[in-house]
Amino acid sequence: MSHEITTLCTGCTACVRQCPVDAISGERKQLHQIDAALCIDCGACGRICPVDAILDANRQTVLHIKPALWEKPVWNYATCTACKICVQACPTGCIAILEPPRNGHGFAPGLPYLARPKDCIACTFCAVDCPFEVIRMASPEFV
Amino acid sequence: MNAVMGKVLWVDLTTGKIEEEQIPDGVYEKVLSGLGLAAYLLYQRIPPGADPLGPENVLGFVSGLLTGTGSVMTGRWMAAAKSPLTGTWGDANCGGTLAPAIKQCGYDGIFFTGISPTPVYLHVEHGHAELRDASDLWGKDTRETETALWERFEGRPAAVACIGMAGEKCSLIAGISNDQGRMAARSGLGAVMGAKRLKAIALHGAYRIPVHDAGEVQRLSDRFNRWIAFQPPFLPGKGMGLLGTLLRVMPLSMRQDGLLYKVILRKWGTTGMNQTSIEMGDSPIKNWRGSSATFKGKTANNLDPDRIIARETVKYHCYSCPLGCGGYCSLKGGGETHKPEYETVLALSGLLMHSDLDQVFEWNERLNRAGMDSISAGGSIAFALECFEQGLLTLEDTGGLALTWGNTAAIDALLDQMIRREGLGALLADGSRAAAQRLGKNASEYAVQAGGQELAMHDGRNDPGFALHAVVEPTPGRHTLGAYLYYEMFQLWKVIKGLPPVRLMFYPKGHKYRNDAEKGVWGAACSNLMAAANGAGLCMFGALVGLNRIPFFQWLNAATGWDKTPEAYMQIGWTIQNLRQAFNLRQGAPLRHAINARATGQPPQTEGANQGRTVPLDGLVRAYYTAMHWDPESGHPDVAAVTALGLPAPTEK
Repeated sequence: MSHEITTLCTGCTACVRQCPVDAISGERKQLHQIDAALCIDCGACGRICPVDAILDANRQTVLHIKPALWEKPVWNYATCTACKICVQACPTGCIAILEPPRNGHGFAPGLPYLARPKDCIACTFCAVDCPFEVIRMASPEFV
Repeated sequence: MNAVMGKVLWVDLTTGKIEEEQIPDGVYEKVLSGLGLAAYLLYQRIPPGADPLGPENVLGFVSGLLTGTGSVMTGRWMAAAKSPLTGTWGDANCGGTLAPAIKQCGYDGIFFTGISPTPVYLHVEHGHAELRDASDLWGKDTRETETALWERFEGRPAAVACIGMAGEKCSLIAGISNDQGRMAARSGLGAVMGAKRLKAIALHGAYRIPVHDAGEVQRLSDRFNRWIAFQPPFLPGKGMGLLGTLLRVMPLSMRQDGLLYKVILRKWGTTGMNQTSIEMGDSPIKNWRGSSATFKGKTANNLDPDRIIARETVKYHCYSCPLGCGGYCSLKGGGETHKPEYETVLALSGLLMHSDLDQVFEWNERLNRAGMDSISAGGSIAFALECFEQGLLTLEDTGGLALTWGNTAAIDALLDQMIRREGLGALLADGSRAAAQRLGKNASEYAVQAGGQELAMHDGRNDPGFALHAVVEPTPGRHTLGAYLYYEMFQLWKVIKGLPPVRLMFYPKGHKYRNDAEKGVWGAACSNLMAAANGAGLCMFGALVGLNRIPFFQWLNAATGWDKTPEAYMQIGWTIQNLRQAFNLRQGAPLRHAINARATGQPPQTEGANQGRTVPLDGLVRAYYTAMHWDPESGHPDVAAVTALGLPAPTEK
């Protein structure tokens, strides 16, 4: 399954620039295309598309959301096990491990955090993949 | 097909051709992924008699079936090839971050054939793979290589596996490094990579891993995590030595529970067992000649695990591991190193009659950077020290190094020579068996290895299971596939019908040396379980928590949508064992491996924890083969299990 671009596309290239896996091709003002073999169904193209021209894997229109309002992951460190599943799940590599200062005994592990919030595409993969329900997606003002 | 990507990548280094191969779903059902898939492919693709360092050998990097599905402690990756060290099936296993990255690139495995004319590395970018020039990386150590690659990708984190100088120089005890010095160290697979002039693989992928019932997999993980989170206060480091003494002097053995070991692992990592193991006779001392009576008191107390974690600055977790037995430690002269493992500490201390912990930290980092197996390096140096003592090596041979027991400066210089492959180091860089063959005379008496691979720091005279698995496994000399200790900790009898339980909490020590058929059944159960675990990417420490606690079989069903019983998964493990053994048969390699007599208590020790003990190996091996349904004398595998996979029967040479 993959996302798909409808004929509503105006060829603005916003999705081409947003796609974390370079799955979208198309010239300016031409209908763009998603390479199904590369698409990971993150939905970033749909959220950035100003004309709602993108269908998700279930053929539902993905609605445009202003990037400033995209939800971001928030960790509950009380239950985080530092297993790094979220770090690896992130397709843009924007989650990193914040290591405690290396001046004492290392009884604490490094914990994940949103190292590059601007690169977060609100795909929710980190929250979906966390087996311990440590991560919730929250509006940017609560992050 | 759920839980797997359904294809592998083949890279011909001679021609530079890169292509994908689809793997039929039925293959995964029969051999899982990971080690099983590697065995399935390498059995067919490596021609009989192939030179392990030649173009015909195939080097595979594989990821487990459960990796990335939401299960935990299932993030191990495996390298596999025909081993240049042992001439048999070779594999090595490592944590870190490479395992999920392989699958995220869209593959269950990446396989290399041929030999590149110039040094190269493979870069897989989501959906696109290419070989790139690595001339500028050649000569760099493993950590420098990884850092240089990250810089090349403008700080985008890539999962990297690479070799250091040891692999480049085809040292037969070289391994493959991942995540700044975590090693897939055994079987000499770093030399295969070096011979192929493949410096590294760097992976950037973002494919999602399909899961049948992700919610159920995660629920099982969450429930299992309660066992990992349970961490009551525990003994201080000094108490661990006393615990070992108690276990040594008691006339009874205690059935080990994995939960206790989990607490130790979480507190200290594998080094938690340093002194306990020395005291109870699990750690070989002075090239397997010494004992708890030789290495004791202040000397042994230097290895107090509290002293090791006093250096730990941050804990290190492999991918998908809530336990976190690893850590980074500061080095005395500045810099840091992965917390040395128990194996490394003992191979570089007790085995050499040396106990300067600062030096062990430094050697650990040096070996990780050079990409050399610390077990085999320690074993080979111990061999050299004994040869020097016995007059087989003279000051002239050693270039003036006085290789006396515990001589820090001399060992330090020798280690450097091994890495650079110069002087006496050139003799030892291929392991102790090769060195003994070149030295001649009675040198092989002092090379403590099985099938060419140095034995790990677990003494078969204390737990005969370690000696058994060192000779019957298709990869000889390994300590991570089975032992009596592991059978007790796996508690498999609670989930697999028909396996004999260990009911008593305490039992007479003599029971371990009794050669009943039951021990063969224990061994076969451990082998089959670990084969399946390596097909799924399960960490051995996860399995040691106990199969009654870790939902290994339930995870497999939930992730794939299969409805198999635990017994059916054990049967898959058995099939993988057959494939690996048939690989050896097809290659004309030994099926039962020779082990140094000293490691089996011949002659028995006269003092220490293992005083007077001899491993009744021949009977044990027969019992193991019988339980595996293999030929009890020759270890000939069940050929029907191999041909049932649609593979050709191995023809004996």
